[in-house]
Amino acid sequence: MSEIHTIDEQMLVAFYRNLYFARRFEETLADMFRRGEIDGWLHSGIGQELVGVILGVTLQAHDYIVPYHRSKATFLARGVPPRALIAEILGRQSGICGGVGGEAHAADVSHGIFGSTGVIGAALPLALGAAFVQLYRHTDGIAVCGFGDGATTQGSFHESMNLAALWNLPIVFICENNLYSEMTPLSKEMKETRIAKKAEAYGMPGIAVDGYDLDATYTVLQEAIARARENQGPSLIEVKTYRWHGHYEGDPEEYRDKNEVEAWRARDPLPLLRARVHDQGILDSQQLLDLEKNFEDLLSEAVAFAKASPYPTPENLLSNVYATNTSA
Amino acid sequence: MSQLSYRRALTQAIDEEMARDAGVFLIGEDVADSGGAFGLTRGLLAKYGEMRVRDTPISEEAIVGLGIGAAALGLRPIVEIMFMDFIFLAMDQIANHAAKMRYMYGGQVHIPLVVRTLSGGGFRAGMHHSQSLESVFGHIPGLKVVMPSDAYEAKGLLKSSIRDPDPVIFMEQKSLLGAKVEVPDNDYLIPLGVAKVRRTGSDVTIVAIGIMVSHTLQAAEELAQEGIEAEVVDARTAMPIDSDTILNSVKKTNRLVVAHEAPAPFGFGAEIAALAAEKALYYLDAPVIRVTSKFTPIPVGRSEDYILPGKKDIVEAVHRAIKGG
Repeated sequence: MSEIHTIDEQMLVAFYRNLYFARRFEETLADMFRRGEIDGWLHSGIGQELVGVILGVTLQAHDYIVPYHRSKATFLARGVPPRALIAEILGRQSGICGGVGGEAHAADVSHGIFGSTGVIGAALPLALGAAFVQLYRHTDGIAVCGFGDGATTQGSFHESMNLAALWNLPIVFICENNLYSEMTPLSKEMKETRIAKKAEAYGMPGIAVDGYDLDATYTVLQEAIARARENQGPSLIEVKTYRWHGHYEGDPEEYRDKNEVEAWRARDPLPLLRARVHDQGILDSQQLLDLEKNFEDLLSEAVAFAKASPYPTPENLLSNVYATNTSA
Repeated sequence: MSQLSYRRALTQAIDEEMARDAGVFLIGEDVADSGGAFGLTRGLLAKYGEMRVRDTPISEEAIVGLGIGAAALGLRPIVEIMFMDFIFLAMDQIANHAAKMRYMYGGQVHIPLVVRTLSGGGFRAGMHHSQSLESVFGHIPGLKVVMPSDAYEAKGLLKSSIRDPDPVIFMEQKSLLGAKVEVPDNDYLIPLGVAKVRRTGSDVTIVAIGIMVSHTLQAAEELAQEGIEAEVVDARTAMPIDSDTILNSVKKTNRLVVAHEAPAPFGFGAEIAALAAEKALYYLDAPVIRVTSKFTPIPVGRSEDYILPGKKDIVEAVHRAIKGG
């Protein structure tokens, strides 16, 4: 990283709005899950929203993003309607994937979000394809691929890093290192836990950054994005971050110390950013309260919409296996 | 129209489709500079350039995943997996992503991807260079599986596969690479999911796929010497299955033999036998008989000939079918 990039007032507000909303969105989902209103599983991204917010706000419309699997923040900051995202997570017809994909497999190609998958590590090869499309079409668009520390022990990570560097693909790999692969600490998953260092083996820059430091994370991401956009090749960014909830909602979390969780929570970037927006005189207290109130209304409306939406019909469930009229 | 080898028919199909559609590109191990391990892609790099014809590292999972991503976002990738046995390295991408992506994203994308791969015996190269895995892929919703039985079929089916909006596993039959038949020089397509009656007959239906079609046609000539007229149906695609053509033939001949090079359990033959049992049971005068490889890995060298099925096995199966099992 060279010098810290300055974040202008307009962007600071955009970051605050999206960070606040992503947090409330995640909290709302967690509450709904506890009340038994969500089928299947929920993998909370609370505590890790900042990266998705920065990407969602700063990427260009023609860039593709393969989101980190917990990152509802990416979808929301990219402009996906919250009602359609909640509906998808609830498995309803009005969801962004018609209620068939659900939380882990949600995508919205019209917002450049593609490649979500329930298989850890599988996103990287798919993201190579998105980057290759940009290269092939000679656009200045890029691809960004998010994944967790657990994905770096998959063969697909090694293959994809090598190929991206070899072909000079316009891609940024972003590893959100939250210190645990599901319920197992990093030190039990890999000998070398400095993930950014691995980039060197593939011939690309690798940079680690504190994911709770907005300015540092913003700067590192902007430099990697610019590098990809200018056809200087891929980068690996290791964002050191932390999830406040378990691997899944309901996880008893016996594998980690409560003090560790509290130490990260104490560094929460959300109130820091709120104070900054206020103290710099960008928004006053009333404006902040109004903004937050609007989001509460938006959330309530989105939840009500999703809950009132029908489940997919049998006809829906038998569609889209093939693009052509094909049956066994 | 000219005599063309299976190998050159495949090259011609790729060439014509690359000329026709700027979104078609080809990647794989050794496909560009060296023109393919068996020369199937020779000349394409010089003609279309290195953006569209690319050598890749030995990274099956990454290159198939790249193909899926590019296909979902509007290109038409052809990814070559040198031998079908190596396709297991890309299994997550094919089975969990190429096959399911359209469905799981609610129809937002389609995946016009072709995975070309050499399959089957004939080179006596052993268990890691000889398998036919059509039933593995036919079992997964979302995939199509194509097995061309000669050079004419190879060209028409590959061109259709490249234009198809769905992911296709295209199994090139390696023991047919040098075999020549009449192939039109012009553009023609063979639709996916439409079987072809290669020989008409009234005594028994033999449904064959891939390399087994040529063995079956030879067996049918031999059977004709004995006065047995076999109807030979080239299934062409293991998925989709052309049920109508197969059932119409069975209803006419009342006897069914199915021939494929893969082993019997959970195989294409089991599927066709089930189809006959479900839809044409009362037309059958004899049990359905399957001609398949033995249920072993494929050994190296001439021992392969003992394990894989051939013309003799088909003739024997027909004799059993005529006798009533």
